[in-house]
Amino acid sequence: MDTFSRKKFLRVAGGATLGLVVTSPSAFASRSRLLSKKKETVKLTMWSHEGEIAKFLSRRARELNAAGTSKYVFAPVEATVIPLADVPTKFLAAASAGTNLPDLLAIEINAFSRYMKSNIAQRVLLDLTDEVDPVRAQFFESSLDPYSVGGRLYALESAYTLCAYYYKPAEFKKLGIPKQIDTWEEMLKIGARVGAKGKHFTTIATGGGGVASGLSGQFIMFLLQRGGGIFDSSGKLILDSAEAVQALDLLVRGLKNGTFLAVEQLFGPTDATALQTGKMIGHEGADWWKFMLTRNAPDQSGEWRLTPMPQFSKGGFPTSHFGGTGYAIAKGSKHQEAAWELLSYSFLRKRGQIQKFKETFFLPTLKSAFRDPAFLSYKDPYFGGQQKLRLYAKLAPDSPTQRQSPFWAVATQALDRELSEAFALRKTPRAAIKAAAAAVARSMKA
Amino acid sequence: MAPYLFIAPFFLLYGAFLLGPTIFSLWLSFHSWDGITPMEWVGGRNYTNLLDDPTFISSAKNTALYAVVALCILAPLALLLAVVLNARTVRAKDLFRAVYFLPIVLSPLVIAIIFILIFDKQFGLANAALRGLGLEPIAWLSTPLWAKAAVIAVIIWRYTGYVMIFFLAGLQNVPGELREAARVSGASQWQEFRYVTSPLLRPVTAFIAIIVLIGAAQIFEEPYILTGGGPADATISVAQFVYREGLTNLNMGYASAASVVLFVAIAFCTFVLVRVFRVGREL
Repeated sequence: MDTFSRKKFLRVAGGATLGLVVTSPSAFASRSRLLSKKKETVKLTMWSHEGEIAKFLSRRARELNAAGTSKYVFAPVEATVIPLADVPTKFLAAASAGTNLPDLLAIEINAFSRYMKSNIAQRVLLDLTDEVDPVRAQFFESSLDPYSVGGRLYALESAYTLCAYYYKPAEFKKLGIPKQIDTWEEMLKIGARVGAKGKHFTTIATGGGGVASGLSGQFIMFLLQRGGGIFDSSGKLILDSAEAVQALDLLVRGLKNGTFLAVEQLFGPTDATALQTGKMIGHEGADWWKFMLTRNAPDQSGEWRLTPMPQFSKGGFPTSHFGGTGYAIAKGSKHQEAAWELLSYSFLRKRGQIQKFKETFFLPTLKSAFRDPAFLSYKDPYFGGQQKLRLYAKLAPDSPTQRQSPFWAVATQALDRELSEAFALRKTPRAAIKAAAAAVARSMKA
Repeated sequence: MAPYLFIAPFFLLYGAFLLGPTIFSLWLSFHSWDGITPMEWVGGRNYTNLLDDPTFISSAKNTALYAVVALCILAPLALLLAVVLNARTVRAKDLFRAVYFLPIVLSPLVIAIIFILIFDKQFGLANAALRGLGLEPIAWLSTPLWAKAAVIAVIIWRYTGYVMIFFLAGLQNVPGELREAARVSGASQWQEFRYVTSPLLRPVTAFIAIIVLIGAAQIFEEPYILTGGGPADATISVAQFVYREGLTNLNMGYASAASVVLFVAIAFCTFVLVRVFRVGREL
């Protein structure tokens, strides 16, 4: 063979050998192993009425990426901020159409009842029960129960909305009011004197009602603290009760004698005016009520402190809940596994919970967070450096649970109607509660 | 074939976005449906339940009130403003037109916030004025009667300028020589308006009456944002009832029944107005 032919032969032989190597099954296996180490990039979408949790989740996603333990590479969470009342409407419409669903969904606690009707939750939300059950005991049950249907859990609460009493010590001192008022009844006695001077212990929404008015929401907070409720754990209507009458009676008497100041809407412009003009020297509220202060009265930083709420002398809890938002995974999401990985990493671990507080100021729902000395030593600058988490740590173990029902929206609508009648003294508290309960009972029968 | 193809887009869109949903809504009104699970036939039960629902009855009465106020107060006020603005002696007409038209372009949320502040019992401008006159403040948004008045005031404030524009356009189409001839013949301003302007304005008036009726019957934003339909359902409209039942309580069939009732009521009233104004007939 001449040189050219040998070169040609070697070229052909070499090519053939290479071809055999490349196309052999073992070669495929090696290539697959190489390819399997390539992670899937996931961009999770979220529908919510606020954007802070999306930012929080995006930061946790970066941590997960840096840790390298996930089989996913998370892009920042893309949040679509929608008005509160429209989130369930938009989601259910998308779920009905079966398209354009988000991966993560914010469910305001009072809107969860819409997912309970005909057990829609089972059809449109991912059941988280089996994943959460192993660690369920580590969480406050009152943070999980409101997002459950038939014992199955569908969302994780983002904020443990414990209620305390916000107050201005300097105003209390000037008016000769003790720093800690133990009972609401005691507050009513002091309030008559203080109200005459144009100062009030809180504002109460007395307007027409509606989604953002806070009318029924505020009453429910007092009702829960008193130990009552609208529904019990089996969904039975229990609104017509002594506790409900006592809670409403407190509000009516407080408005009548000037202890409480009537405003059209909670968190609305008139509520803010009461705060800014100094008529409001205190206010009961959940942990997020702090934003009412920081947004409407930043100049009052350092003037406010937190203390436990007064209690009902006839019994109940030292605290209550007002609002809350759970985060769920849409069943139609194409990234259920990734969404759960991010959600569980962020919400089910102590580090994530504490980080959530640091970034959003929403209280943790994990019991162990409230035993962490570093966490409890946090000093809130708006409250003059008060270590307010120590107060919440005392309140957290003994708080009521908001028992949900598919008829929750009907109940709040009935309460909006009857509460305004009671506040305007057109009905007694007993008559108003009875009428509200009767209206809900009628709807439940229909 | 070509002419049909040219008019097809309208009918396709009309069918898809108006006729189709209307027929579906009628069909839905005989069912119970939450939007996700399968529909359940209930026959006329939704309609009979409406008759026993005190909230629906309140909403129907309120909506009728809003429609009557719109026809009897808002429209005549708009006409009066239009007549005044059409006068030769008025200067800066464009400025007035813009000012009167402005409320309709404002966001309903902005309007609601402003009027909540105006009508607030503690801090509101309205009560500050009353206190200045030595009168007792009124709980505008917490008293059924005054809440209705507040909502009506906002509706009149918001839509009068918008309706005025239509009347103004109609007035400007009335031939000047006819009015001049009437004046020369010794007619007073009122006689000129009654016997010359008003008859020529009839088609525009008929159009305005019908759109004002339909608009008022479908009112939603003002009561929803200002009072949430309260206090005690004193201001709730049928449109808000439909929204609440359909989207909040997920009773789609029940909400559809209410919307069908509203549709029938509006259609009947529109028919009456068409007969009253003799639309399509000679003067």
